[in-house]
Amino acid sequence: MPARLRDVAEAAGVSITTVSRILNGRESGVPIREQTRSRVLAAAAELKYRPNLLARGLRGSSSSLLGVIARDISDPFHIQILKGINETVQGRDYRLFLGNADYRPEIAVAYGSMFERSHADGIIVIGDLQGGDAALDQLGQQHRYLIGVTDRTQRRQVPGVYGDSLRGTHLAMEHLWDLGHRSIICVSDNRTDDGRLRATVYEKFMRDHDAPDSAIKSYTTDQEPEPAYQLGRRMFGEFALSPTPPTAIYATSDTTAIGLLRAAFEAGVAVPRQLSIIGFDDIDLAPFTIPPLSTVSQTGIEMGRTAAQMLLDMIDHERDRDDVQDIVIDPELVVRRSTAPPPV
Amino acid sequence: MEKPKRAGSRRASITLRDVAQDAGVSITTVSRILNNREGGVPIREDTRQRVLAAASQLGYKPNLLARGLRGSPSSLLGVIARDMSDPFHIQILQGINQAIQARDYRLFLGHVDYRAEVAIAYASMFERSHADGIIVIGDIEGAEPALDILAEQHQFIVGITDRTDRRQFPGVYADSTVGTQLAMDHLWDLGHRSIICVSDSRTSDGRLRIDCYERYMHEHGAGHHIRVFITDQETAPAFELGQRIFARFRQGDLATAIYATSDTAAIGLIQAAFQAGIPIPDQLSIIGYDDIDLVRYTVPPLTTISQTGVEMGRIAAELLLDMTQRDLNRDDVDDIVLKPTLIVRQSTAHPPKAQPEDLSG
Repeated sequence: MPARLRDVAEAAGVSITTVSRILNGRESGVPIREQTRSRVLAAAAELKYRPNLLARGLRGSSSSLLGVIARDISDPFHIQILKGINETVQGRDYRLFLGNADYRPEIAVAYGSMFERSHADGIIVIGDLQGGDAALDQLGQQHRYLIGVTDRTQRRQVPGVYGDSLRGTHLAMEHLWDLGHRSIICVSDNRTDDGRLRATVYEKFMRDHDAPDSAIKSYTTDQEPEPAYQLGRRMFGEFALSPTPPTAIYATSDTTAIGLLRAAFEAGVAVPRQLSIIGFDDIDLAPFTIPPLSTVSQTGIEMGRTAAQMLLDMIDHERDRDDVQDIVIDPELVVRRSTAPPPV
Repeated sequence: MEKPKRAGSRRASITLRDVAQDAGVSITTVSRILNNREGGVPIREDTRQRVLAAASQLGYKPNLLARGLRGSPSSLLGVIARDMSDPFHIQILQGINQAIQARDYRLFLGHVDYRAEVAIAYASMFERSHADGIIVIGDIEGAEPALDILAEQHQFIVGITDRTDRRQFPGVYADSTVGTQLAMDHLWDLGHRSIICVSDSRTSDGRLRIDCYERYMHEHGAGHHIRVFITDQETAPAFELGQRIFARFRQGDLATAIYATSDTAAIGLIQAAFQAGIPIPDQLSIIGYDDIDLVRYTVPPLTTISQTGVEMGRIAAELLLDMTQRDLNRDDVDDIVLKPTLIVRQSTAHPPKAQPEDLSG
């Protein structure tokens, strides 16, 4: 791992400020003694210190560079996060390079290496990858300034900005429960940690509320609208034959909810009169579905802004990962028109 | 159509062909020597020396050298996207991704956010990162000078837009003239005469589709029905515009159909109609443009013009890879124009109170 100003200062026995003045060519004010300068330069060379300014020189660009590795650039929630990152870096003369990991950890690692070779100042990883912990470890070893944006609540190898799936699921379930729903099913994507976590929290919520086993049912699907729509067609076919169909669905992503809404429309199931559907994420299109979607907002733009701010702070102050606190963004319930009391 | 002279026809860098001419040998020979593929017939030492001297004198910079400079065996494509939150552009990115995945290429993506100066900044960074080639997605208002600079800096550059006229570099184009014709024919054949157009004038595609709409209406003797509403093409501003349009409906200023020049705008209009209690398509038909992934799931599912974004992305990436691998001069590469298709779903129908004889055609 590359050395920091602090390491050089310790090795040379001088203050960080002195090292910074020498290495960054800002030697106004009190003059620096020649032997101090020599000692600092020797320490920097020995520790292979590589300041950002040098990286910029190598890159041949005065702008700074942030690498972003996204699980899926076509995921509308991740697009919100990207917009937030973009907003923060635009004011700061940073540029973004974006790599699409397409759910594959080995591609994430390959992008990490390319960012390293391009002398990126820092890296943001958006979204969990199945089996991706080893990949994240590897990225963490290569890069000092690395931030994750996911919805885990437990701390990992890198500091990050997290959504809170536990709290978010509680908000969604309490909303449905308070409306009077008792037969609630869950539709989630088990490829992602967030999907699995939300399904687990759903089941626990139902059990904690003494729901009978028959009322607890989880379906899994890829979270995109098409597979969710196909699942919805099969589900609503079954429900039509059931004397006591469920009255509400907790969909763990808005894209899934959108596929289910379409299937309900086709099957002649009226939302929310016969069936309530609540999503998760509050993607840009959620206010424009028919009916407009009740959901749990993760404020993706805010998560992106916060993550970029956190990373820039780490870079500016050469902060160690261990000295950086995770930030958990509180989810919020957004009630629109896809949820209502169950039919009597 | 005569090819307009492009600013970028001044060559950005030295090609294998230049080296071959200078050394007086074939391109194949130069390629075998410079790319270290010397199987088959042996190459004479004096030929090799002549080629290496010519390459060095001309400052030839092969892709392999670029990869060496970058320290990576993978190749690198830079993508400059007008707006990476635009669902149509996301389809294009998916297509590019599909094309390169099999071929050990990686993508670097720059988000321009409609600003020409940001496009130039990314282009310079791609150049310094020794990108093998660049794809530019989408037109940007006022960006022609930026594109000229790009074309001067990079030999291997491909555009993806929906223009039909050639620009500074070759491209994959969708045909907005044909697309608008398809949309308007569909509405006209259903019996609609009072058709309004909702479009985004920030983009050349938006402006071109407005022109085509107006011409269509004039040619069909419906010039008095022409009404164009301008909005940013994102869903939220289109929704707000829809609320204003439907308020005018209540005052008797009716139309029976809307041609929205993007699906994202159409989705906003459908929501505004839903909230205003206007049933679609019974009272009002809406047709979109792009066939983005989500419009199969709108209620009702949206009738639209498919530009096959995934296909456009795939073809553009293949064109670019072909240019870089065969060292093609961009003047020798033809544009690829894709024909859009009409996708009829459930947001369009006959106008209310349409007379059957009007429809028999």
